[in-house]
Amino acid sequence: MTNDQHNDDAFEQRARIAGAALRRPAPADGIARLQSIRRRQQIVRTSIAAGASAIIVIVGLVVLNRPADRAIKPANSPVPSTTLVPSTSTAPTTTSVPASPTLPYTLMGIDGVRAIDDPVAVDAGGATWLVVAWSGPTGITDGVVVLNESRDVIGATEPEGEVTSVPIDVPDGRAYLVTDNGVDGQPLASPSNTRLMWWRDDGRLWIASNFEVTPERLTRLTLAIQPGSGLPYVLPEAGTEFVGFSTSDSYESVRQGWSMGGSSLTLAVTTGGLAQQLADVTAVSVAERTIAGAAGYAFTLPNGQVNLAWPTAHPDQWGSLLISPPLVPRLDEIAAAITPI
Amino acid sequence: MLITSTSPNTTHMTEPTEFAIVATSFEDLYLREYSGLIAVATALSGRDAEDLVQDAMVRALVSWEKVRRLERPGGWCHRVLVNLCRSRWRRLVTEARFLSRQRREESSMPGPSDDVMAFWSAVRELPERPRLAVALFYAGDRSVVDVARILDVPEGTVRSDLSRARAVLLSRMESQS
Repeated sequence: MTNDQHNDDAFEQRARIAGAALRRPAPADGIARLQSIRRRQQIVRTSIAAGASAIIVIVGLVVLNRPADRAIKPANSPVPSTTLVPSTSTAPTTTSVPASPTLPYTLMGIDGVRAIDDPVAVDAGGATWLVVAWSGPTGITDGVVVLNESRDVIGATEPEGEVTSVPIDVPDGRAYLVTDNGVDGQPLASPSNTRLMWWRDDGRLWIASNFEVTPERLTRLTLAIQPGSGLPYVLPEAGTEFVGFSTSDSYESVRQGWSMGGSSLTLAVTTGGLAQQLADVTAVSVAERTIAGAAGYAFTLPNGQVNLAWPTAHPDQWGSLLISPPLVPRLDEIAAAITPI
Repeated sequence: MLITSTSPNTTHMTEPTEFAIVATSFEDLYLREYSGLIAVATALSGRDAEDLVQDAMVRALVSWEKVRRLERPGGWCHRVLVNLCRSRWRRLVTEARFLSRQRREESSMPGPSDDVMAFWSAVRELPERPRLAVALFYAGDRSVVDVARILDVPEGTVRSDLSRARAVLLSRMESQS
């Protein structure tokens, strides 16, 4: 070994040790702290927005009131009661700080479950996307194809990670069938683990995910998607039914973290209908299930989590409860605990 | 079945922790990336690392609907963190010009030995790009490919920066010993 090599090895070892010495696991309360900061930021932002609104409303009232004052208030005469301008006491009701986000559901009637955070509003964060979903002829348990279109993709331009990717022929850009690998490095067998990723020439990224659709059919269906009239895209293929679509423009979600026996649950309501619930469908199974009195679904995810989803009383809004794997054996009990407020 | 026709040439296994559009949660991302982020922040800043990581992760939380759709959400977090460290670095340099005593401020983080802290102090004397490359590579344990993406430079530039940084740091280590 030369002196240089020895020095290089010694440096490499020292640098690796120095790097490893700085690493440490996430603090137990890290997520809660982040959510708290996020919540405070939202309150500040909404307060500023409310403050701006208040100024606008007050200025508006002053402007509106001014001619009335002049018109109805002759010199040295009392103001007739019938000409009183709108009371400024109405202003506070229109300018108060917006209430904290609330959830129309809670979890109750089950031992050991507790909310660990206040409900938090989540928006699209400036991202732009479109989700369009189609099902098999008898519903989503019969198969699902979901198109996720993003226009502001940054980073990779080809599949990465522990995946197996197969290039496919497309009319423009580059596309791959991408399948997650298992722990043995081989592609997972479930078709739900295969998606079609298509980097279009115009900068759009299409990701077509699926439930119970073969890779061949997923490819054929994705290539058959066309711009629609009145709908963003249509899929003129036999055996498919339009489920719905959702966009980042109208996306709103309120979420709340819960804990049970040290494991987490996430209760949420989200706009965008069933399409948004299916946006990242990688379920290994989908089953119909009545949840909170509504006809919903239980999605079992590849990582062992179960996501319950059901339509709420509000049009276009769905409730969901993400259940971590240790709690899945108590699924029935937990599902029964979802209670409208 | 199409999948079975996969050839080894089309298999990508560059990043074991980042899947594309898997139903990962923010919690998963946080728990997975925290260790590397805190190491990079500590390496680059020497102090306030917790605040920097917190700031980066709050941004990820705020933009979660966007971040979760990225191929490499961990890389996004590192890029945000690096930018925060860059801004902070510039502020520190400005501070130091006027308040030289602040340069002696100790890190509040317990643990790393004097030897480790000496190493990272030396790294912090490097020019910006090699400094960031060394921190991401050794503290963040990111691959050269990843570092190149995070810093938005070609891989060759990262290799070159790492090589030059090694030479400089080695020379400093030798002169100190």
